Amino acid sequence: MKQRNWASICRRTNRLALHGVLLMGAWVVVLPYLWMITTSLKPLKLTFSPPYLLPVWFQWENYRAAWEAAPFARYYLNSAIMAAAIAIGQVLGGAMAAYAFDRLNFRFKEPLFLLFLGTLMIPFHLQVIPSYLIIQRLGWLNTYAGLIIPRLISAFGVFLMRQFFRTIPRELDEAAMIDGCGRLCILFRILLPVARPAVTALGLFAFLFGWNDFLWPLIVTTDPNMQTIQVGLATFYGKYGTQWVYLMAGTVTSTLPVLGLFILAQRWIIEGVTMGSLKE
Amino acid sequence: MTERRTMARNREETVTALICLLPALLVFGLFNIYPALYAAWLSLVKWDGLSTVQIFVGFTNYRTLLADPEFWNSARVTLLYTIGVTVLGLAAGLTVALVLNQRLFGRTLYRAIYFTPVITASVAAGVVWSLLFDPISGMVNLTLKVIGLQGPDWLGDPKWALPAVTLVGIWKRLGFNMVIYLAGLQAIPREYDDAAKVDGASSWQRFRHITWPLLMPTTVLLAIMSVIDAFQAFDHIFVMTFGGPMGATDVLPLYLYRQGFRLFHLGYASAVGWVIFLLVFITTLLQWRFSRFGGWQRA
Amino acid sequence: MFLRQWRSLWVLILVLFVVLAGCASNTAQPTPQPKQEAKAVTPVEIEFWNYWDGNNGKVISALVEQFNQSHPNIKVKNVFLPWGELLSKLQASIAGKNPPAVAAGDLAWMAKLNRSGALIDLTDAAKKANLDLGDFYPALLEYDRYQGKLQGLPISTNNLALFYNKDLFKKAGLDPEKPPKTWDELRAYAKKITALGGGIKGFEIYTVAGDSGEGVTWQFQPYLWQAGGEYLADNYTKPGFNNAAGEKALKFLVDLIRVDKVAEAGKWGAFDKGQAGMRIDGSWMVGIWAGQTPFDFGTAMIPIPEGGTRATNMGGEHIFVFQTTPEKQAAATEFALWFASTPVQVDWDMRTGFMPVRESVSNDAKYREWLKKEPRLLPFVEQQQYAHARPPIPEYPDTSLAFAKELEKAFYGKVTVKEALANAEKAVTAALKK
Repeated sequence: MKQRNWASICRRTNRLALHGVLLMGAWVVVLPYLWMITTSLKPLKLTFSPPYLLPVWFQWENYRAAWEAAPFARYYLNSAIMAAAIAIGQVLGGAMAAYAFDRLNFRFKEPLFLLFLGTLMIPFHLQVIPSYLIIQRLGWLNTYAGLIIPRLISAFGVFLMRQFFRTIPRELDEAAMIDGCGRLCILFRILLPVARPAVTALGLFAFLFGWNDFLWPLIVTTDPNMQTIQVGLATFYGKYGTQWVYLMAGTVTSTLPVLGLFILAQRWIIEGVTMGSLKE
Repeated sequence: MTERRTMARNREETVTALICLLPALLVFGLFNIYPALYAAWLSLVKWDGLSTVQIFVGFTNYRTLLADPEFWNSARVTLLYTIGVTVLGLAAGLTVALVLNQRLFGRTLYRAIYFTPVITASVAAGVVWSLLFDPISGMVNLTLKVIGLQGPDWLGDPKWALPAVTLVGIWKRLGFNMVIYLAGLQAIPREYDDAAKVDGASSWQRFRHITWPLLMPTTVLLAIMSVIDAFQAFDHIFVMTFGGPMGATDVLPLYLYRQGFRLFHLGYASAVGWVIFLLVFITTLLQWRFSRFGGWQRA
Repeated sequence: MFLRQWRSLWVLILVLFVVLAGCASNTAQPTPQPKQEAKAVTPVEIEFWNYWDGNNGKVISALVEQFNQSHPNIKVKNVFLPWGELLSKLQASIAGKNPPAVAAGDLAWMAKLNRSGALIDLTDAAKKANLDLGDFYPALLEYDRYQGKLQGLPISTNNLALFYNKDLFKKAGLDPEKPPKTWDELRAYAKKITALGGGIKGFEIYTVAGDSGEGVTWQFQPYLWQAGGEYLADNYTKPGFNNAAGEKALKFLVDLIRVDKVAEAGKWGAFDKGQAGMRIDGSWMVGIWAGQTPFDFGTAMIPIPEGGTRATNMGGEHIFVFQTTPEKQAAATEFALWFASTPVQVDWDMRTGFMPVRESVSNDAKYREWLKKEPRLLPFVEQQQYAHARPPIPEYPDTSLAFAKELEKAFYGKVTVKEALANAEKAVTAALKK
C-alpha cells in the first residue's frame, strides 16, 4: 500500500521533469517561429528596430499586403493541386515498387534498388538544363503535367514503404493467398492497410515536399497562372534587399495549412490501426 | 513437376515486379537518370552554360577538381555537417519520438510544435535563424547573456559558423525523424513489450533489446536519407553564410552552385556534381551493406 | 468494413489518375502556331524576363502595360523570375533554343551573354531610332559592346556611397549634417562612435567573400581607384593592385578592423540595426531604409584619401534581345529602345529610385525636381560621373572570387596586407588564364 503511493509520487515527478525537458526543447524549436510571427505583425517602420520576441504590435494589414503582392489565391490553388497529386502518386507508386522490392524475387533486384536510391543523390542544380529540355520537348512547360508527373514517384517513398513492409510478417500474405487473394490484392488489402502509419507519413511528407518545392515549379513555369506559393514568396527576397515583414507574413500563412494537415494526420500516424485489418 | 511450378512462379513474380516498377522506372529514367547522364557528358566539356560552344576536354575537369584545395575544404565541411546532422538529428528525433509515443498530457501540441520546422520553407528558416544568431541583437546571444555567457559572432566567426548552420540543419530535420520514428514504433507489436514487462525488464533493457532492434529498419532508412539530404544541403547555408567566413561553411553544393552559376563553369560544376553523387553513393552503399550484416534482416 | 473503405479510396485515386493523365495528354499536344493570315490582327506576343521584385516589380508591370497600350501591334508579357534563378533559367532556355524575346539582367552577366551568340546586334535599330548613344554613361555602355556590336542597353544603374547614422553622430558629439569627407575624417569619426560602447562600431566593412566574392571585391574597388590603383591593368590582362595604391587602400580598411578596432570582420548587417555608425552601400538602400530604420540616416559621397580622386563602383541591369523570329525580334527591339528612351527612363528612375543611365535623365528638370524630395539620392546622382566599370571580361567573376578570398584573410588577420596583395596577384593571374 505504502509502496504503491511512493511509486505514484515517483511517476508524477518523472512526468513533471519530462514536461520540463519537453517544454525547453519546444522553446528552442518554436523560437524562430515565434519570432517570425512577431515580425510579420510589425509596422513597416520598425522593420530594422531592435527585435522583440512577443508581438506588441498587431499590424494585420501586413498579411493583406503580402497576400496582394502576388496572385496568391491562384498560387495556393496550384500548390494544393500539385502537392495533393504528388502525395497520391508517391504513396501509390512507392507502395507498388516497394512491394516488388520486398515481397517478390527477380533479377537485379538489389542493383535496381540502389539505382532508385541513386536518383536522390544527383545535385538538383545539375538537373535544371536537361529537365527543362525534356519538359519543353514534351510540351509540358506551364502545365500541371509538367509540375506533377516528374515528381510523381520518389525513391524516398519507395524506400520508406519497403522498410515498413519489411516489418509486416509474411504469414499475413500467406493467409490471404490461401483465401484466394492475388498479389495486387495482398498489396492493396493487406499490406497497405497495415502500413497505414507509413502511408500517412509518406503522404504527408510528399504533400509537404510539393508544397515547399521552389526550384522545380520555377523551371517549368513562367506563366503566373501556373506558379506556386514558393515562387510567390520569392518575390519578397530579391537582389535589392528583403521585405522582411511581408516575407514573414507570407511564410506564416503558407505554413498554417500544412500544420493543420499534420495535426489531422498525426492521429493516423501514431494512433494507427496496427493490425486492425486482421479483425476483418 | 515442382520445378516447372517454381519456374512458372518465378516468371509470374518477374512480370508482377515489372508491372509494379514500371511507373517508377519511367519517371526516374526520364527525369533523373537521363539528366544525370547529361550531366556526365557535361562534366567532360568546357562550357559556360550560355555559349553554343562546348569544348571536349576529357577528364580535365576532374583533374582540376582534385587539385583544388577549395574542393577539399568543401568535402571536409560537408562531411562534418553530414555527421553532425545525421548523428545528432537521429538521436534527437528518436528521443522525442519515444517520449511522445507515450500517453502524455498535451502530446498532440508537442508533436505539432516539434514538427513545425519541417514545414517551414528552408529559405525563410535560414533568414530567421541568421537574425537570431546576430551577435548583439540576436535572441541566441541575448538568451546566453541571461545565463551570464558572452556568445560569439556565430555566423561571422570561422569557428562557430559550422556549428550554427549544423544546428539549423538538425532543427529542420528533427520533426521529420520524429514522425518516421513514431510511425516505426507503431509497427512494434505491443505484446513484445508487455511480455518483457512481465519478465521484469527495466525500461532501458526493454529499449535496448526490443525497441532498438525492431526499429532498425527505420533507423537505416533515416540514416541513409539523412546522409543523402545532408550532402545536398544548400538553402539555409546559402542564406545564412554564403559558405563563409573563410570557407568555414562552404559545403559541396555551394561550391557547385558557385562554379556553375556565379563563375559560369558549367562543365566543371557538372564534374563537381558527379563527385558529390559518387561520394553519397559510396557512403550509402556502405551504410546499406553494413546494416544488412547488422542482423536486422528477416531470416 | 475496413476493406470497403479502402476500396472506395482506391477508386477515388484511380479516377484522379485518369483525370491527371487526361490533363497531361491534352497539354502534351504542341501549341498551335499562330496562323499567318491572323498576323495583321493579332499582336505579336513576346515575353520579357526580369528579376525586379517588390516595388520595382510593380513599376515594371505598370510600364509594360503602358507600352502595350501605346503599341497595339505588340503585346509584352512581363515575367518575373527570382534573382537567384533567372540566370539558370536563361541558360536552360538558350540550351533549349527557346529563349524569351527580351530580358533584363545583371550587368555582370553581360560578358558571358555577349559571347553566347544568342543575342542580336542592336546597332542598326538604335541608329534608325535616332538613339543618342553618346548620352549614356560610357562606363555603362562598355558592358554592351562586343566585337563592334551593341548587344544590350543599360536600363538601370546604382552606385556606392556613404551611409551614416545621424542619431549615432549626435550621440558621439558629431555634427549630423557634416559627414566625413576624407579617409582620415572617417577614421576619426568612427573612433568617436565606437567609444559610445555597447558593441556599437563606428564603421561596417564587407569582409566575407562568401558565394561569389563579389561583395568584398566591389566594395573594395572604390578605395583602390581613389588611391590611384587599378583592379586589372593593361586592357584587363593583368592585376593592377599589388602596388603602393593597393597597399594604401587595403591597409586603410585592415587598420580600421585590426588596429583601431572601429570595424569588425564578420557578418554584414550591423548598420541597419543601428549598431554601426557608417557603411558604404548602394543607392537602392535609400528606398529600402527610408522610413523603416529606427534611426535617421544621411548619405554622402565616398570619403577620399588625401590627394586622391573621386571614384565609385556601379551595378544595375541591362536589357538584351534574343535571336528568335524576325517578328519577335523586331517587337522586342522596339520595346528595348522604348524602355531606354529618356522620358520612360525619367519615369522609371523616379518611381524606382534607380540611378539614371543617361545624362539627359540626370539633367531632366522633372527628375531634378523629384530629387529634392529625397535629397539622400543626390550624392549618388552626383557620383555617377565618377563611376568605374568593373572589367567586362568573361574571366572577371573568377578573378573577383580569387581576389576576395585573399582580402578576407587579411580582414580576419590571418595574413598581412602585403601578403594578401601578393597572394591575390598570383590568384588573379591564375584566374585570368582560366
